[in-house]
Amino acid sequence: MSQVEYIRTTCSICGHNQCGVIVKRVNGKVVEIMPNRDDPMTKGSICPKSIASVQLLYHPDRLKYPLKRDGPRGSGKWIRITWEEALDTVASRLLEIKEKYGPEAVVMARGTNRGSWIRLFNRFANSFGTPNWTESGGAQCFTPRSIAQRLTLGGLALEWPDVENSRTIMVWGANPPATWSPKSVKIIRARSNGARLIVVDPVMSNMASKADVWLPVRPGTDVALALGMINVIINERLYDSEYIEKYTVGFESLKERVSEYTPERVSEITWVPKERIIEAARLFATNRPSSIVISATFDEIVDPIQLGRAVSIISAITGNVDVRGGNIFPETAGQVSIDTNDFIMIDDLPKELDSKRLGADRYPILSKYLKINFPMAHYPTILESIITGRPYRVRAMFIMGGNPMLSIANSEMAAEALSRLEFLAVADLFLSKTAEMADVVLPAASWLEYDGLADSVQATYGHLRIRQKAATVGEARSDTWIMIELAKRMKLKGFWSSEREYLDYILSPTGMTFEQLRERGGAIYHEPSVGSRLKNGFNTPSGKIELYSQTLKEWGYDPLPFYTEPFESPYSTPEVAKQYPFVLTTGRRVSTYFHTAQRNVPALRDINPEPVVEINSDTARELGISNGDMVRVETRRGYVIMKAKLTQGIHPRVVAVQHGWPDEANDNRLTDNTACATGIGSTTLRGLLCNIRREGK
Amino acid sequence: MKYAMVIDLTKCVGCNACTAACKIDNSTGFGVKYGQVLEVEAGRFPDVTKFYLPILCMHCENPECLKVCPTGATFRTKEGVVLIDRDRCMGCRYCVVACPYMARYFYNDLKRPLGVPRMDLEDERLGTVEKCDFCIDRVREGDLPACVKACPYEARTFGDADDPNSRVHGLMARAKPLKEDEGFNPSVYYIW
Repeated sequence: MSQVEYIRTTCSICGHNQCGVIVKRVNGKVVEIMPNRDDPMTKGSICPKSIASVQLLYHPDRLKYPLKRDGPRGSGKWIRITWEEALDTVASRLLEIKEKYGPEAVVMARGTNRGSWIRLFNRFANSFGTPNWTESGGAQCFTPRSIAQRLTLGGLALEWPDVENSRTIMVWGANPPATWSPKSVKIIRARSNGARLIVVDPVMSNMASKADVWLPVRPGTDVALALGMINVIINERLYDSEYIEKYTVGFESLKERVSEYTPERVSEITWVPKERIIEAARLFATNRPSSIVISATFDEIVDPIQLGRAVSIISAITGNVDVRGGNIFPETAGQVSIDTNDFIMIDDLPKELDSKRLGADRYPILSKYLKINFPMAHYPTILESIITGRPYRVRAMFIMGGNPMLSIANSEMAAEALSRLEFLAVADLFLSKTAEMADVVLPAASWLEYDGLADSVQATYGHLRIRQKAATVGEARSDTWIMIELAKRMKLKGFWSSEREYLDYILSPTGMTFEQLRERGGAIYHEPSVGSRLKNGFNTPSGKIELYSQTLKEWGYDPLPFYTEPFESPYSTPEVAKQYPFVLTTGRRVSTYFHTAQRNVPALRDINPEPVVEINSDTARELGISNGDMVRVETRRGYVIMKAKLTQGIHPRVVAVQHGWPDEANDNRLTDNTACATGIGSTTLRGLLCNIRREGK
Repeated sequence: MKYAMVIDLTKCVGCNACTAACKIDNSTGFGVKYGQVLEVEAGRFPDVTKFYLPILCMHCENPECLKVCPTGATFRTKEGVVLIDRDRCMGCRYCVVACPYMARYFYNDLKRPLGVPRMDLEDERLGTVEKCDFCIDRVREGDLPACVKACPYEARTFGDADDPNSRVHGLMARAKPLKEDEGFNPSVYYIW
């Protein structure tokens, strides 16, 4: 008789930590992963990445034990070592370099959040004593939009669209069917129940295919579009004047500012037909309640803070913040919140190190400790420091779940920098391009291989659910375990003796241990207090939504939103545009891959076997490019070769490439890491200039 | 008893959870997809529409594939499911050409890119024609086809079309098969 078990858990293949899934195990082997339609929060969402995690789990190329480099860096020669040796080596080398060159010479960098350790990693860095903690995403993912929301709304309401209760949903710069199944499932359900859908995307994406109004914005000009919509809402008096009066500050100055962004002018900037801008603004403002769904476009354009601000303002002036069916504020289910400056132990970091954080001088909103951010080092500045030794030289890096060799702007520079390090340790599932550069490689566990909690801010809206171990692969260990073991060896303050002790600590305010929570079904829920800000005030200096941001003014920035043309565009650099006439976005994502990962998973690779560039079919015809041809996409910085997909779902002068492929299809050979966003340091990934030509069949 | 599937295209966003589940459950080789999702686009920028069209074996009542099979390997069960007897299939591929829905594959596993390992079963399917079998082994055990179970949008409904109380029976009233007028009488219906 075979023994069949069903394990309820939460997936973390994409780092959003959200989908409640069921793992089927037969005779101890995982055979199937399926949606859990009874999950209280995600109600059956799942994606191909999660389903195919069976193949990821048992992939023959998984790292099964720790490795030590045995030959020149990048030579591919390794020897197997024990965990004892691996952990001792990493701990002692990091401490040595800290001792010799100062703590700032050690960089802690993370990538994919393979669990709930996102903020534990900050804590690890702060406790170690380095100001130089960073993320591959970092200034290009979540950070700018979080800060923009905190400045404007006093919290992350744009992260929590209450779409199930919305009559209008506006999805902006996001493609949830490919990247965020829980949101997508709720959007489609709402749409089946009659909700109207607006989608802002340069490409006719999965989400845009379901839109009532599609706004094909020129990549990088989203701020102008938002200001144009605010202009329409104000001029046509579609705003909620009572809400504005009671809950916001700065409406009059906003009104004056946006008066210059008429639909005519905005249409010229964004290449979106004027009528559509007006239609979308009217629909959003009048068919209420309306919610907004956003994602990484809000972090990857020329001025992301302005986009987060402007779109928060659209929600605010139409009375949709902190109301059912609008955008509401995330809350924990009563556990210790990991998203606080207390939890990350920022105050344990010596104050004098704050100004040493790489990027602090040029990008203070990212890199200085300003209370409303988790200050992080600026990745391009780190690379510069390693290569030039200015303002000082970074000597060592500890990279967890990140693949900066592919995933950050300017791959050539990333490769040069990593090759110059004195010491590099990488924790990952596979020998990634980045792990290949390491001195020590630690085999990390996938989401199926450890007990944990889905408690990052994106995984909890009043909900807390557990993750359960369903399998063991070689000697792979969870990232949390790795940090705890390293912390022991380095005698770091504020750590625990075991993973279980850590989980019990997070759960302590709920009165339950991890085991008790598991026995009680593995999920707790705390009814969110929608409307509490309206009653008690918003978490901003004025206690109101700040259309006019006093804080930005104090920091020396414009307190009102404004549009900036991308660093490189047909209008800002017409000379460059002569040679590179097309506007490029590297923002395309497909449902089968999370950034650089999973291309070695057979079932997923078969769905999207090749890197794809989307080109308007009229443009392609003029250039002699047919569907399926290999095309060279070139910018001032480099080129990629990808397979052409011809479509009418993109502007004739816009080209969209997929992100995350290796080698000659690596989109970060095209991107620039020298021109970065004001104050926050984001590299522009959407809104560059390129040329295209046919390369062959 | 007649098994049928209804796919609601208003709910399908082309996420391919179904394709992944199908490939895992059947452990198919590279390039072989018993089920897949097509993209259909119409119009000119910016007035474009697009929808996603999941396709699979339609389990026709009058299957063209069955008619052309010289060995009798293709047959239709009492439950209305079209199956292939692997031992009788000699790989002539007449059926691959005859199928009006392009649902059949001559099974091979030749196109795997570098770095993508083989993870399917030791394959007695090589050299035969394979296709979707409505996950009949699972269904007979009371489970659902893998694609139906995987769909996060619940766009797919599966059941006994002959049972007037079944959900699939109810949905079929407002659904249509592809190439409805050609007399194949498929068991897969679409709502759009």
